[in-house]
Formats: sequence, structure tokens, C-alpha cells
Amino acid sequence: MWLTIIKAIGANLFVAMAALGYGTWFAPLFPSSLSRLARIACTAIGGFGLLGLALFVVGQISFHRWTVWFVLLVGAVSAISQRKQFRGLPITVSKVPAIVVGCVLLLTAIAGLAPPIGDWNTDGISYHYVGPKVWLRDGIIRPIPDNAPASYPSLVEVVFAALRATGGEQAPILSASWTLGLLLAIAAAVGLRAGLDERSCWWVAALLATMGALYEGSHSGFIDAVYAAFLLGAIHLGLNATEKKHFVGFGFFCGLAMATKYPALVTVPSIVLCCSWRGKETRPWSAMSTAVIALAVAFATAGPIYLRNWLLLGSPIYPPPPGAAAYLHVKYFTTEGLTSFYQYAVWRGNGLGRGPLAFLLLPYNLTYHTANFHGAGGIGIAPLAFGWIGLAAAWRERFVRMLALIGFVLVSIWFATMQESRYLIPFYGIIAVFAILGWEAARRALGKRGKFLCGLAVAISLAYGFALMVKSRIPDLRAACSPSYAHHRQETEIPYWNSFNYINDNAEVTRVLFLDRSIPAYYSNKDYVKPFGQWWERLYVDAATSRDILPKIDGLHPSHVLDVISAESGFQVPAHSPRYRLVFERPGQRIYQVIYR
Amino acid sequence: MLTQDKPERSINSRLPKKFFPVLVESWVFTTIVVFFVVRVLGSNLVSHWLHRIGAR
Repeated sequence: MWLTIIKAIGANLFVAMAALGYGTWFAPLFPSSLSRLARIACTAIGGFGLLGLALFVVGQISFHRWTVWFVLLVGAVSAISQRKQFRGLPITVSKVPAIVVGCVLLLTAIAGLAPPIGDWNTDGISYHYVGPKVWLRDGIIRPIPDNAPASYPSLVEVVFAALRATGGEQAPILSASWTLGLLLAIAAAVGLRAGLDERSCWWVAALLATMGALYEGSHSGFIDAVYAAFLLGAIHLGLNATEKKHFVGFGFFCGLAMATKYPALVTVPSIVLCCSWRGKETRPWSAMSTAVIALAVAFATAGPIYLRNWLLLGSPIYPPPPGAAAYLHVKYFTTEGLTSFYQYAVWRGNGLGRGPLAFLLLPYNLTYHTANFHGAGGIGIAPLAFGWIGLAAAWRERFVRMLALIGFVLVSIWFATMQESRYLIPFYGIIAVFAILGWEAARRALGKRGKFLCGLAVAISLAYGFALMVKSRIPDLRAACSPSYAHHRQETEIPYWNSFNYINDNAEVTRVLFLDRSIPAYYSNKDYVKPFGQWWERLYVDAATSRDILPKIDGLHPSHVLDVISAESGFQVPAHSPRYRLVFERPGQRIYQVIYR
Repeated sequence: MLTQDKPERSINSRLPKKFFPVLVESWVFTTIVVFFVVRVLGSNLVSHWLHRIGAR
């Protein structure tokens, strides 16, 4: 147990160091006006992105452990040679919020040591951790036919793969503790630029760290906190950019966001427009040229991921958006499959409703009723209590006005598209800055009673958010500390656990056919083939059921077949068939050895 | 340039001195009260407890 933990921690330190090293390569593109905190945060965040991109590009040719080690070593050597840049804390410590931040990160780290569990409804198990495992096993990064989300922009997942290669299964899960830290650091740096002092910046980080809706999108494989860090880094660089090279850096961060999540394809152009337009001081031509530079760099940065999808799957955005599906012929999807996928996406994105009234009620609903949709936990009451005061107090600052405008644009786009709470994390970073700006302004204006009320509102925000996140992670904490409980949890919460144990421990099993689409292939340490994917993917477009697949079994080359009873289907392998020999059976689970003639 | 030459004014100087503190205090107080009503009194735990009390 201890060896696993040490290995996972060591891998995380090594990957973080490599990320810092890659970050030093483009630090000259940052505006000189950046604070030291912002400079270090942007170096680490951008370096994380560049590391992911480098691994992705190299992984198209080879993705073995030694290639991963080589890419990491290049970054680590750069970090060691530039180590003087990172000496000492970049910001004065404020005790209370620093303790809150420390507790959240420590909670995430300890809970991150629990073995991964869950079924096909757990995003990490269904795709975030599947890609890394399969790519490392295959020694190359290629789309997984039964897993369309593994072909989403996968910059962070590629870093997960590097962590897995160097530190084992626990390492990617543990990484949430420091990737969340990156988001908190850049949000604090934005706060510093908006007019807060160094101690107040810690409150921005503390407020953000205890937002349940944010926290749920930052651990267990979720990549939304890293995505938000890329976007906040881009916004910070874009609003401070004065020279063309600064806009190159800004565009690079926008590209990293596009290489992480599809929503960035909509948000990045709007952010580029907001950051390029400098009001009356700028000529339209100058604004346009900087916008073009930033967009060109962004598209070039994210290009490898979209180009790979286009070449190998038939569409740069995979699965293609509804409008484009009629013109593009994509692999592994039928028209009906795509329709089901779109219906699922619309259902997921309904969130808090549509229409003007729903939009006006957002501040209330995001604060008090976020449990109504996917992303329970809320954002605390401080943003609603102080956000508008912060905006009014700092309105004279152009940076603050532009930040507010970008925040409004982010919310509007989110409202009009996919209302998944964690997609709004970049906005939560901005609203936390306004909340603390407002708290500061209110404290200056109020008497003792008012100050007490304000302090109470902040304390409630922090305490309620922290209590919720501790409650949600108690099972993980317990599993991390107790191997027997972790084992019990695996037995009871991982579907077909006994069958996976048989598959993983039996040397005769070399390649498994999973017939049921709900089987979480992540738990198989052996090569597998899954004809029907969770999101209606099909390995063979003309094979819709197991009756169509089983006659093709010779072409799939499985050594064994896992046949199960699930909510999706019953047993599918015909009983007493001479082609299949039953070698393992548990209630609702059967493993057959395939007999080749 | 023009905006930088203007003298610094805080939010307090732009809003009536007595009105602003009252407004902020009332607003913050309301957010706290609504929080207790919606998130604490409205939570499953409290609803369950109130239901048990009512059933006696």
C-alpha cells in the first residue's frame, strides 16, 4: 500500500516539475506587467498544457512508457535549469484562507489515494481514465471505437496517461489536488490584478476551493478545473496584453482550452474579441489584427487534436454537431446512434431551464438550487451577497469592467448551450474575485454589525461548501485509509468485479469480448473488444445486436467472452454452443472461452 | 489617459452615505436568511426531522 502511495506522489511531483519546465519555454510571451504570482501560475498552467500537447503529438507515433519518460525528462531538465524563477512564495500568506485552501487540497489528495470505483455512469470510469489505460496498453494514441468521448479533446487525459505510466493507477486520481491548486492560483492572480491585496487574494482561492459545484468538476477524472485554469489564464494574459507577442501567448492559452473541451470552441472567439477590443484607444484594424493573431495561434495549438479526429474519424469534432452530421461520414456511428447521442446531450444540458425568466433567476438558482441539476453543491452565498458590490466598487478599473463583460459572455453562452454546472467553472473563478472585491468594499463602508454580517456570509459560504465536500468524499477517505474497506467497496460497487478478477488474473485470457454496452471496460487489464459502445457507438455499423456480432467472432479474435445480465440485456451467448466453453460463472455473470476450429 | 486624470472616487462617495450601508446590510442579511430557509430548513435532513416531530 505504502509503495503505491509513494509511487503515485513521486509521479505527480515529477509530472508537475516537467510541466513547470515546459512552461519556462514560453514565459517570454507574458506581459512584463504580470505579478509574480500570475507569472508562476501561467507558467505552470501553460506548461501543463504544452506537456499534454507534446505527449499527444509524440503519442501518435509511439506511446510506450519510455517515450512518456523521455518527454517528461525534457521538461524536468528545463525546470531544473530555470529553478531560480520558482524560489520562494510568490505571495504573502494569509493564515485563515490559506488553512481552508490547504484543507481542501489535502482532502482531495488523501481521497485521491482511494482505488477508483464506479459503473458506466461515473465519467472517470467510463472515459476519462479509459483512454490513458488503453493508449498505454496499445503503445499508441488512437481513437477507441467503442468510446467516442475518448476522442474528445484529450489534452488532460494524455497527462493522466503520463501519470499512470510513471506512478500507477492512483497517480492520475491524486493529480486533482495540484491541478485544482493551479486554478486557485490563477484565480487569485486575477484578483490581484483586479485590485485586491495579496492577503485578500487568498480569500478568492478559499471561496473558490469551497464551491461545491466547482469541486465536483475537479476530481475523480473530471477535467473542468484544468479547463477553467486555461481559460482564466487566457483571460488574464489577454486583458494585460499590449504587444503582438503577448497576444501570441494569449492565443496559446485559448488553444489549450480548445484542446481540452469542446465548449471552448464557442467561448474562445468571444473572449478573443473582448480582449482585443480596447475601446476608443484602439484602431479597429489594430484590434482586428491582434484578434486574428490570437485566433490563429489558438487554432494552431489545438490543431493536432482536431486534425487527428478529422483524419481518423471523419470529423474534426467527434461526434459531429447535428448540423454537420448530414455532410460528414463519421466512423462508428449510425444516424440513429447520433440521434440518440444528441437527445442525451440535450437532456444533460437542460439544467435550469431556458427563457428570459430562467436567465434572470440564475443568480438565485446558482446560489440556492444547484442541486436541481447535474453539479450539486452550489457556489456559496458570498457571490450573490457581494458580487454586485465588488462590481460597483471597482467599476472604474478597465480590467474589472472587461472581466465583468467576459463573465457575462461566459454565462450567456453557457445558458444558451449546455447548462452543465461544471462547464461554468471559469465564470465561478471570476465571480469569486468580484465577491471578495465586494466584501472588501462593504467592510470599508460598514460599522461593526455590518462587518459581522459580511463575515458571517463568507463563513457560511466556506463552511457549507467544505462540509458538503467532506460529506461527499467520506467513502473515498475511508477507502484510502482502510484496505479492507477499499476491497469491500470494489466488490460491491464495481459491476462484475468477480469476472474482472478472473479476466485480470488468468493468463489464458488475452483478449475479451464484452457483449453488453454497460460493462465498464476500464477494469479490464487485458485487451478487449466491445462492439457496442455506451454512447451508441458501433464497431460494425451493420451489426446492431449480439446475434449479428457472434457470427463475426473469428474476425474479432477474442480468447474469452464476458456475458452478463444487466439493465440493458440478458445473457446473449447461446447455451450449449460448441464454440463457447463456460469457464467461470457467478450470478448474472458468465465467462466463456472461445473454441477456435 | 483622460480617465486616469480623474480623481479617485470610492463607491461610498458615489452613493448616499446613509443609504449604502443600510442597503448592503439588508442585502447580506437577506442572502443569509434565504440560505437558512432554502438550504437548511429545506434540506432533506431537516424536512425529515420536522416530519418526525409533526408525526408525534
